Amino acid sequence: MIEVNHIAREFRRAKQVHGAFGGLRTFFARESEIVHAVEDVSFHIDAGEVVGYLGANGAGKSTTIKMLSGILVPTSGEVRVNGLIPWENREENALNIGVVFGQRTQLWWDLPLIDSLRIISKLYQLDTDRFQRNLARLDDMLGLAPFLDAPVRQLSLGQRMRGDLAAAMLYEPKILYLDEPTIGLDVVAKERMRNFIEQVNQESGTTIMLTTHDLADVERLTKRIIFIDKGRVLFDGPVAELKHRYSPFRELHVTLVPNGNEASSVDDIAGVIHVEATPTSLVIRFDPERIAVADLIAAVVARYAVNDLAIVEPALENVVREIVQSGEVRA
Amino acid sequence: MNIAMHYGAWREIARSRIRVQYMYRFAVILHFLLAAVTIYLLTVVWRSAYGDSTEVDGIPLKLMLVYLTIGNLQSKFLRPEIGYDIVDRIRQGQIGFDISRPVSYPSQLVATEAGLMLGMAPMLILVLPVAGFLGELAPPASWEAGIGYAASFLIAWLIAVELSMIIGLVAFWTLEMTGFMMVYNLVGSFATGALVPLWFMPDLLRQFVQLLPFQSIVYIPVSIYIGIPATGHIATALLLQCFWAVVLVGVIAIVWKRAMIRTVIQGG
Amino acid sequence: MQKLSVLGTLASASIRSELQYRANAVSSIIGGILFQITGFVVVWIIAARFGQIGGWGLPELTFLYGMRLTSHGIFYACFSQMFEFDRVLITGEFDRYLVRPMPPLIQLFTRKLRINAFGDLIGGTVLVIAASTAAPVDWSPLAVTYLILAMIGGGLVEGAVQITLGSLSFRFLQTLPLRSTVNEVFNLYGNYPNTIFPGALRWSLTFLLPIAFVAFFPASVLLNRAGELSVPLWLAAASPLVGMVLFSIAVRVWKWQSVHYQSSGN
Repeated sequence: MIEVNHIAREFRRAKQVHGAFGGLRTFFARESEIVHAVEDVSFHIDAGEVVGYLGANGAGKSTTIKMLSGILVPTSGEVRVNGLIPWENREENALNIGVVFGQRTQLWWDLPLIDSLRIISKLYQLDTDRFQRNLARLDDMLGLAPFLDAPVRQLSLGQRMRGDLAAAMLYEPKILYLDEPTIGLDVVAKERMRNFIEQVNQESGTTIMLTTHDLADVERLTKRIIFIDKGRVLFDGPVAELKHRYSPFRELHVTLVPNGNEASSVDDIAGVIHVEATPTSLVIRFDPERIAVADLIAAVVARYAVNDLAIVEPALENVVREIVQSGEVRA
Repeated sequence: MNIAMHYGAWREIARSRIRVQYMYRFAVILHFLLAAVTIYLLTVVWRSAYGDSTEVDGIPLKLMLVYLTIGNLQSKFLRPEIGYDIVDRIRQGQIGFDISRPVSYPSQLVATEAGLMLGMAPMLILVLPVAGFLGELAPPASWEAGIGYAASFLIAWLIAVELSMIIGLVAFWTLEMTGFMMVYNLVGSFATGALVPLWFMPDLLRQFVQLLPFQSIVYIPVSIYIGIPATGHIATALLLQCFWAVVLVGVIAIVWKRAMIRTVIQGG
Repeated sequence: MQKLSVLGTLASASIRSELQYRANAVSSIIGGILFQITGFVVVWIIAARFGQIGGWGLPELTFLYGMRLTSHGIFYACFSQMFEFDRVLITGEFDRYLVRPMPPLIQLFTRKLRINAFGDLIGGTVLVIAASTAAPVDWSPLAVTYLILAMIGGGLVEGAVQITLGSLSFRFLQTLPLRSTVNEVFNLYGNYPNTIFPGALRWSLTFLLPIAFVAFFPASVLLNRAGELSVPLWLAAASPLVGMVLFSIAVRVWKWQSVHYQSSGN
């Protein structure tokens, strides 16, 4: 459905010239610097997949999405979306895709939501029947009815996002790009949004590509992650695999009895990878294949006066943080 | 409140506005270059209208061109912007702070406008030779005319600020300025006499324009400069300007009072 | 045909958006008319007192002014959003035009309607009609058709200039100050017979900035004054065509430059 081969995109930024007439000189200056937003990205996404596209700020997520949707032309490389080159067959491609940018709206600001949806149905050449049918279905999923007649500028962020999702799905695109769809939403609104995305994927088989900062979105919605950093793909595979690469290591969080302990340590126990110790707590990272949890606990309790214990699975968030910090994915 | 403290506040307000003007210096230069383009067009048009005659109604072509050149630069220079400032402050809900300061808001506005124009002055000097090349420049008709012009220009500045303030205060009621400001700028630029001096206007129109304060901004000072003072004498021309300057202070006082009552009632 | 109906939908949406602010709409129209009246009063005063400008009498000058103004109204009614283009780029609003099945330029133009364009259209039409009997035009169905085509062509000339210069915004992000200045030059210099300017400027105002094609050339043709022109009659008469040609070139330039879009807003 989506094929991306070695795309790169660089931006030319005029170098700021300071001093007298700096602005004018900047304008005419030949000097500019090149910023590589995307260096070399390749991946394939099959029809019906839900893919989380992750990376730190400035990693090139939005730039990729923009190239896939025909907004930006890549400096080099190849993209096929449903067989089309997005920036060359822009209008044809537009019929296949829905795009939602979390921070912006595609709705007509001063008009009631229903008007925006009508205009979009015209833009995408839906007949009245299909429009009514799809609208009814979207209303059912997103609960649009209470604010259909309100001008978009009066909607809350959550309502507006629902309106934007409805606008993007109204013409049943094969592919849906979501750029930070849950940003700024409260818990209830986020949950509703996720339910909707899930439902759309399951019922209509829509292929979904999702960038987000909220890893709860990813854990809940996607099976596959593409992780990019500095414009390159670091990891492409199932969420489970990414976690599995870290799964040799679990963490044992220990709360100690205050003032009840003599100086001691657990560093010498086989299978312990790393220890962070404070006077009142321990965080022990260990390899469960080398030491059984029960044995480790027994060893800890033997050496310390313990108040509480907990075993912690690696959260995706920690995995991601670690990847971003180290700049590589553990093999 | 002592004057020294007020003076310090005014100077600071003016200074910060000079800095703003400097930030937007290219827009300002463009603004004056557009004045130069206008001056050139008017020069060509009036030359063509004069045709072969060197003098019409006792006005030599050369004086006419000097009038247009100085008049149009001056009218671009004396185009106050505090009206927009007031609207912005009201919209952003900051007007309450402005009003509650120990220095009166109208005087803050005058200081702002002073900074605005002082900031523009260097750019005006840059454009002056261009305007002289495209139009026509000449020294004042006599030394009295020169001194009279300097005095008249200062009063013209004051009147321009007063008018701008009145327009700006209207925003307390309308909360919208663009349409109003556009009309003001236009009617203003025509009624000041920058495009057509009053002496060439048809009688009825001239009599109407003479009843308005706008002529004090361009027509009166520049006609003093070229030695054909509006009222026949420099002194009476200045007196007429002073009359308007005082009347407008009264108008501002009334409008300001009402605006304050309105603000207090509506809570800013 | 389908495209045309979509265009209609978008246009009506922009009109409805604008009418949400009714008081502002009315004051905009009145403001637009007043704006143009002051410009015309200058011409009128000079022509009334001096009898002519560049050998053109008051009726002819009025006719020229009216044609120019109507053209400008057409330009403004259709392409006013060029003046918002820089902002559309900077805020990233342009992104969404690119993901819709409609040419982005059309989406830009139908983004919003500037109501004061109707001030120009009304004012210009009134002037043309007022001058039509006094001005020495041989009225025939052909002449009327030519007049209408010429005014549309004039709107297209102005549009072409704004679109061409605006396409530079894809690279430089901000060309509005430049374009406003050019627009002002059109507004100032287009209202007078081109023949009053010295040779080099006359040439520049014909071929560098095609202001003469907006109203002066077609007006000269209709007023039987083509003999005074420094260009051949056929070129002056072809003004409506020039508008269309320039416009289609401008659209091409715009598409060609749009590859440089950086989508910086975020």
